[in-house]
Amino acid sequence: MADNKLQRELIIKALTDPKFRKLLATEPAQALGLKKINIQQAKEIKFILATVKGIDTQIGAMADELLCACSVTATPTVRNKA
Amino acid sequence: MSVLEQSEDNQQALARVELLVATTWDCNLRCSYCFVGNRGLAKNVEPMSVLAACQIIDVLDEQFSDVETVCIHFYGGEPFCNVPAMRTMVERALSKSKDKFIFAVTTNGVSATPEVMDLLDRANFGVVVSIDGPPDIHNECRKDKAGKSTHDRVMKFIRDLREKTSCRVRGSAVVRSGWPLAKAVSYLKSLDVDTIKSQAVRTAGAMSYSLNIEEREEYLADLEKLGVQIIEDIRHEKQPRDDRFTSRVFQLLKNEPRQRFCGAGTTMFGITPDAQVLPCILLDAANNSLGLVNDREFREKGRRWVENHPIEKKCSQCSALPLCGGGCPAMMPFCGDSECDIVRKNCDVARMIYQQFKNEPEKLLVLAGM
Repeated sequence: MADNKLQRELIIKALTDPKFRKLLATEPAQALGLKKINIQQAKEIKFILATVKGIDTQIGAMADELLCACSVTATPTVRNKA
Repeated sequence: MSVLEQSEDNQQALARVELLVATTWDCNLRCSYCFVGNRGLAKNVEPMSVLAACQIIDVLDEQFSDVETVCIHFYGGEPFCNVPAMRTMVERALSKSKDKFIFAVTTNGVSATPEVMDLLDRANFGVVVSIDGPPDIHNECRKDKAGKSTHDRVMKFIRDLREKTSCRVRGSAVVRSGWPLAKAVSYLKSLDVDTIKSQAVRTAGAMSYSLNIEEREEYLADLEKLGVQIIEDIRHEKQPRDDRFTSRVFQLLKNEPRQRFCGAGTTMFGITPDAQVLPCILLDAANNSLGLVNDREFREKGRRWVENHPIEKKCSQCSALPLCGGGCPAMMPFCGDSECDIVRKNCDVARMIYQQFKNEPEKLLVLAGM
């Protein structure tokens, strides 16, 4: 992988195709059509699955424009002190 | 079943719940349009004690043992009016499983002490700070108990947050008569904050600050213009600071109808200063209590509350239902059709944004910060 475009495509696929997402989580090599995956690829798959999960949280959080502002912590944006 | 519960990797563990906690109903401000005050949600209840704060975290830790992340969102009242309870909850929560508890606060920012700033930074809070607009707009409605203006103090709070903490900051403005959405958004964008939100004042019936018919039309038109700006942001791979449409755009991408408007009663609860649990802190306790925290029955009672509050029949014919899920249970009885107009427009704009990128969905990932 290591290709940003491919990574984004895989995130979209995992988000929109539950079977692929499950396969990516349980049999990543099979999901990607590879014989086996290396450590770097495993890290990238972990990132993809975490991103998809984060988007699920965003969907559930219902940002909208209400007083409760449930989504304030849905996006784990980290910033450093000025 | 909620959207969260439906997701593949959440079958065993619920990803996240949010508790909106009012450690006090007291507030140091007297805002003319206060939803909590004007709706009579703030009763004469003593502030939460340190002991109760400690026990609440213990029960939450136990009752949400199947949940990966528990967000304690301090609400109120003004959370900084009861720092001892807030500090106790944070410190107790941080003593539990690593990263299980995360924290947010909705505050007017007027009375933050160095101790508060340290707490916010230490626990990596997400901070929602209320600031309506420039001094004349803000100070007209947001005065302290003594009737003094507060804008300068809020601006200092925002500067201090940026200089002394790593907190994520969301600026929040109330749109009211004479102060349109477009101007509120423009003002919030001028501030040093990460994200922004601005919403029409919620009132039952006409008040002096309510939007009139023309202003409501302008508000809906401004929502559409905001959607057009967000499309431009996405095209330029820039994450929009106003994220009100994000959840629905992703929902469209996932092609998953929303079963409920929000997680009230299942993935979201409110806790009052006297430790009552509600499906949402903005619902009145007299009609919606799920018992005391210590009863340890609120999740089951929450499920029953959801079952007993099905989507209204009038919603079944609404085109927005798959994206709306039946409307906010706290606002709908209070604001009625005017609330529906806004939610429906938000749904329409989310569709407009999604349609622009339907054939290149990867571009939408910028909404998730990618």
